[in-house]
Amino acid sequence: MDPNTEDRDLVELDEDECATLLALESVGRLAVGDATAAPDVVPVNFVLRDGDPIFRSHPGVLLDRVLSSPVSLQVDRFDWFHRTGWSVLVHGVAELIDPDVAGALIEEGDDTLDTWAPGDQPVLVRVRAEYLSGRRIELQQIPLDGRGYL
Amino acid sequence: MNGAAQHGTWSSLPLPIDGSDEHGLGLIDEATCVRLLSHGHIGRLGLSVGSLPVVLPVNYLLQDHTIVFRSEDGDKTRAAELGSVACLEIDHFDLFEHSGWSVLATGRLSIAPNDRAAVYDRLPVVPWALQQSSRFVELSVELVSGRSIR
Repeated sequence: MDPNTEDRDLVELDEDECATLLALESVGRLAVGDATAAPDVVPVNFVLRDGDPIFRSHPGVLLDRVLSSPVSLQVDRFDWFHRTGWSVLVHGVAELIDPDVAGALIEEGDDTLDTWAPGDQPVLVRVRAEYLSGRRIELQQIPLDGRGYL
Repeated sequence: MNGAAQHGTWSSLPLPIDGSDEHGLGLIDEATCVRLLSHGHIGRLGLSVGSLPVVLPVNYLLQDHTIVFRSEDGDKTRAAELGSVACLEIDHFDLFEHSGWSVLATGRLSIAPNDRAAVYDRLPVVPWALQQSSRFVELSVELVSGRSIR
């Protein structure tokens, strides 16, 4: 594997590209803000509804923090062989989905809303996305000289 | 019949679990968390930028209870210059089994002094893409915790 970092570019992604990549993933890392300390980062499995990530949760200390401070949700994918990949960050504010609506969505049996975590997860949370940012590492194109490469 | 043993995916190999939390997630003991950190290569750094939580992937190495990564000038090096508290999250998921684990290491960021930077320079802690000069950043691991879904 080539450890050389010089033939790779770090490219900022625009919001459309971020939205496209976000839709590919089902597991993200939720960071719960705290202006004075490190954010807590916990994995969540999520689905997109109208462009906003939603996930199941349960009442508790973490949920209280999620609902009372800004959050971000990070997703990424890496290609270990080519040493490339991308990472997208959703910045926003989390809010509870109306319990009746949440109950109906969960009852519908839509398995994309299944949670991996054990225990009762009766609450649905939406991250109201304010903006998306992301970066991609891409290999620079190596021009072929037309003589074949075998 | 034990489904996990049948499928035998790597992530379903039993981690030493030290009881479970109030939501039924398995607690990973500290020694195992450190072992998982020492085997990882990519982690997600959680830090507070302008009092908003941000998560950024880094190529890291665990060296003497310190997480080391290289960074170009930006949010990460600024946080390190300020000695900010940050965390590194690593995880592994099995999309088929809906199982996985995550480990969170929290500590304080700093710019590596020259003598240690010279040591790190000989270690395989190379980011996949670099556009300009970079510095070594240290995250002293003060707290670790881990959770698993079996």
